[in-house]
Order: sequence, then C-alpha cells, then structure tokens
Amino acid sequence: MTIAAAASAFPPHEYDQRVILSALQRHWGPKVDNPIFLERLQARVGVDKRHLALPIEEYNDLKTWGRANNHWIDVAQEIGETALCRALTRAGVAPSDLDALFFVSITGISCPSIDAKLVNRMGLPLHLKRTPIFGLGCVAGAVGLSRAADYVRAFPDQVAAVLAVELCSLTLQQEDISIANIISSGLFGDGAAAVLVTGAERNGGGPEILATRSVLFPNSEHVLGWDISEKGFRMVLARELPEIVQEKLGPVVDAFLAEHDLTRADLGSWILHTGGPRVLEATAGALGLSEQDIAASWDCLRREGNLSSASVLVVLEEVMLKRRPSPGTYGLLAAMGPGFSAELVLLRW
Amino acid sequence: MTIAGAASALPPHKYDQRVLIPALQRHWGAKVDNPAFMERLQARVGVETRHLALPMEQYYGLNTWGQANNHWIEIAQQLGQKALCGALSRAGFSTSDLGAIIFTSITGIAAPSIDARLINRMHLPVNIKRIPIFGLGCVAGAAAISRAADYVLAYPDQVAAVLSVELCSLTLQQDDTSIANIISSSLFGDGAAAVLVAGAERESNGPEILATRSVFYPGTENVMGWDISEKGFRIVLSRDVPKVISEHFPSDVDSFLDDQGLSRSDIGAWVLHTGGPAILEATAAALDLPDHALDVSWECLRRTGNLSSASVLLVLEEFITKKRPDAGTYGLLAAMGPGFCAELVLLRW
Repeated sequence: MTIAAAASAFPPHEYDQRVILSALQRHWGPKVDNPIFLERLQARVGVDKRHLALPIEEYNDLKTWGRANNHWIDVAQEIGETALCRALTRAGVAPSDLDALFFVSITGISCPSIDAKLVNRMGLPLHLKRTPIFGLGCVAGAVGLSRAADYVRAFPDQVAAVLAVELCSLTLQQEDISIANIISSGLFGDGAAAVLVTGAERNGGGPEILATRSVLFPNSEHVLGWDISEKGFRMVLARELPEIVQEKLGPVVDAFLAEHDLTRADLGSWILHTGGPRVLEATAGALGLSEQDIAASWDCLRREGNLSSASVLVVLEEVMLKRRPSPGTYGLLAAMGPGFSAELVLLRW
Repeated sequence: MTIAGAASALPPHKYDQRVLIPALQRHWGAKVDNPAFMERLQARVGVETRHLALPMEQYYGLNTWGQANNHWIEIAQQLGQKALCGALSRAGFSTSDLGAIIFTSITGIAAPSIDARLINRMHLPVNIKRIPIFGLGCVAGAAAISRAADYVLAYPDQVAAVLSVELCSLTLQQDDTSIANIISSSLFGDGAAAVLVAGAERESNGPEILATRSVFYPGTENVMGWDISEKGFRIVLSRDVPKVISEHFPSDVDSFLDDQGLSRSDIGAWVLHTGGPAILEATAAALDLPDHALDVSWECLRRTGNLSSASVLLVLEEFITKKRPDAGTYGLLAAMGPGFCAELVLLRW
C-alpha cells in the first residue's frame, strides 16, 4: 500500500494574522477583560496568515448556525473538489478509477454528504464506496489514511481517497469570550486536503504504508471536543491537553514501533498534526524531537493555522513535494484528536 | 466473512400509534390544514407501536436542538451499549475480540463520538479502529455492513462491529406542518442495532457475506436528506422516492446478482430496509417479488416504525433469530438512502 499523492486546496480569501486579530479585537472590544491578551495571542499562536471560507466582512452577518452550515456545504464542495482533482492529477489517476472515498470533517454536516454531492459534481464512479466521517476531529485525517490503507489491503488492485475539508472559521462562536474560544479564533484556519492510497498491485510512487495504529486514552473524554447546540459547535479544550500529550504519546509510539522492530532513532521523517505551538512543543518533547525534525509542521502552522483534520495531510503534501526523504527512510505520520485519541501511521519512503 | 450476531435495543418508552397520533394532532391542532389527513395517515403508515427515546410528555419541553441533541448523546450511549452487548453475547464474542467499530447515526452528532465514549463505558480495546459515520441516512446500516466486510477481508482473523443508533423522535420539528414532516412524525421511531461481522478465519454460524455493492443515482440529491439549521434536522422527502426506486433498483439488483452468477429467483431471503409502505410496495412491485417476500420488513415496520439506518439491521436480526432460512439459501440485504443511493449485500445462509 502506498500514498500515491497528496494535494491541498484553500479558499481564495487569505488574510494576514494582524488583519484577523484586529477584526476580532473590534468585534469583542470591551467584552474581553484584558485586550492585551488578544495581542499576546497573536504572537504566541505561531500563525502568520490564514485562509477563510468567506471574505472577512461577511462573518458579521452569520447570525445563525444554519447560515454558517449552509456556507460550509457550499465551500466544502468547492475546495473539496479542487483538492481531490489535484490529488488525482498528481497521481495520474482518473476520477473513474477511484473505488472508495473517506470524507472527513468536524466543522459542518450535510445529508446527503459532501462525498455524495461530489459524485454528481465530479462524475465519480456510481459504485464508489463512500464513508462520510464526523466526530473524530483533528485526528480524522490520519484515521482516514489508516482506513484507506485497510481498504486497499482488502482490494490490492484498487485506489482509495481520503478527503478532509475543515472550515473552522464557520464555527466561530462570536459571543463566546472563553479562553478556549479566543485561542481557537486565533489558531484555526480553513482548507482542504486529499490523499490517494493505492493497493499493493498498483504503482503508487509515494511512501509505503507499513502499519497503522489507533489509540484511545481512557477517561479523557472531557479534554477536547465540541459542545454542540443550536448555536453551533463550541470548542472544548482543556488546559491540561499539552501535559497529556507530553505524558502519554511517547510510550504509545514506542510500543507501536517496537512491534515493527523499530525505535524512534530509526525514523528520519516526522509528519505531525500542527495542533498549536503548545501541542507541537509537547509532541516534540514527548518524542525527543528537534525543531528541525518537525519544521514542516511549524511551517504549515505559520502559513495556514491549524486546519484540524486536514493539517496532517497538508504537512504530508509539504513533505512529499518539498522535503522528500531519501528512499528507504522510515517516517511516522501522527495526529491527535477528541477521545482523547491518537492515530499513528508508519511509512517507508 | 460471516455475520456472527445481530441484536437490537429499543428504549423503554413504548407507545401505541393510537396514542402518538392524537398527541401530534393536539399539538398541531388548527395549524394542519386538513386534520383528517393525519387520521388517514395513521392507517396508512403501517405502524402500530413505536419506542421513543424519552417519555412522551418530555418532548414538549424540548425547546432547542441543543437540548434534543444532548438527550441523543446520552441515550445513544445507553442503547448503543445494550445493542452491542447483545450482539457480542449472541455471537459468543467478548469486547476484546473487536478489531473495529463502525458507528452510524443520522439523528444526532457528538465529538468525541459515541464509539469513543463506548470505549470508556464498555472497556472496548483502546486500539479499536473507530469509524463514526454521519450523512448516509437510512442506507448507513447496510453500508456499514459492507464496510465491515471490507475490513475483515483485509484482516480475516478479526471481528468488526456495526452499531447503528437512531433517535428519530429527537429530530421532530414541532413547528413544521409540511406533509413530509407529518409523514415522518407518524413513521419514524427510535432504536439501536448492532451486527458483528467476522473474518473468514473466525468461527461463526451466521450467514456468509458473499459480495457487496454501493449504487448511486446521479442528479437525485434533492429527493431525500436533511435541511440542517439551528432548528435541527428538517426532513427532505420527495414524493418521487418510490418512483426513483421503481426505475433504478431492479436493474441494479439484477446486475449485482448477475456478477455473482445469480438472478432474483435464486434469492430466498429479502432483508430489506423497512422504509414506509409506499417504499416497500414500490420495491416489491419493481422486483416482482412473490407475496410475503417482504413480510419481515412489514412486521418490523409495524412494531417499531422506520428506524432509519437501524431498520435493516433489525430485519436481519429477525431473520437470524426467528426466521432463519435453510442452509444454502441466498439472501439479499438492501437499503436505500440520501444521495439518492442504495447498498446491496449478498448473503448465503
């Protein structure tokens, strides 16, 4: 099983972090106890610019979750189609060759799902096996990759696609001045990424997927997720998250690698979910990684913000296109999400 | 690959249709143009009793979608656990045997998802592979069996669980007196069902899964689905659904069976989604089925109403536990859903 291609797509509305932060300051103004906090945030989240699903001035008019979700349905199709087309082109695979599609998002919902709408828009095969996933949050891009790998393991002559579309800006809780919401308003961006996974009998061209592992950390339901209501999706983000990552991730990665007779020292490439600065630092700390080891994640965070499930796939694209390890290098792709959970994918370039 | 066990779980609040329909009549009262329409409906939907997630009187207190969805999160865990425990015990498996779980629902959402919460509640393996699906609607139970079959094709020594929980009553749009909503308020019920799919290397005496097929009908996005907003999930249900089924379904069934060297007359057990009377009649007529071929579906419809994605799994449970076909009998499990689409699963007892 190999990763044949990865491609991202972003909405056309790109803003400097300073523009977004001043808009938030104007919006929240005196409601935030300490306005300096917003400025400090700007420096600390490690984000230079972000793409937004809509022009920035349109967000003031999003009075209801229904309107925001309707925009999600439209924009998710547009950038989802672009990302999937690019990945198909890069892999030299025709849309009619696609056998399975895992669509993941945690920022909007639709029925029929976006993958179904893309069958109509893109002329995908009518026998395409569609799996629309909601609920895995930031870990869903990595999980989609693992499940696509399972799929082509069953059907080694076939091709499966993972498509992640996250329009985090459309979930912004405009009335919520909790720290979690203020952080997320500074950190999360909008974008899509598609990855094609080909079975062993197809010529993939990218890194081989050697193994995958899902992990749930028991009794940590409350540290990350959505509080869901008619107001939309309100962020649940516990302060202890970086500590949990720091404490739990190392042993899980080591056990996974040991099953394949590897240790961390054998890995030459790290494709990590961008999270935010504190989670990235905790991840690096837990795994004993240098700044250089996770430079691709820092770069993607700076360029796009945290794209939830799409982030790790954008980092994968970056590594495939610009930082490709030499053949034979082992790599680990990893993301974390609500549950609290992690997904690990062992690669060989 | 075999179906090693199936079990359902229904909430304790069970009501006769003659209690539910007058309650709806009282609630809507003069807002419904033609009150006689509702009475005629009572006779026509083919439902005698339904189970509800909450005691009837509590529905009047559900003023927001957030409240309804919070109930969904609670009860989905309770019923989901019960159904999954039932299926495990019927199959003679323990929770530690599960390699993957596919959770489906179209009536509520959660992050962390219900499957993640069940790991904590039921002590499922922390490395279980979780696939929470939202967006496939009524077809999701059948589609999840197909995806579980794909999974154990890749891992023939493993067991995958399908868990569907649908609490349709919690999506009731109390202010919507459209015909689609009045029909759905009379037709849909609440319940859960779990099915275990075992790989070829596992012992099981359930029916074998021989093949699966997903089918998509282009240009029919608008005939079924949810209109999603801060008010929750409003049903989209076109009068054309039976027509779409009549036009497309027989040729899809025939070409699927033909690929397996079979024809309709070789099928001795029809395990069909209950839908509603119009859909069951259209399906029976389109497939030219003998009298009583769909009796089990009609019976489930009468007892529980349409349980969306869980319905076809209840029909399967009924076949396995009470109407078990002779060994060697071919069965076709099928459901339809938004897209518009269908999923076909060929079984052999």
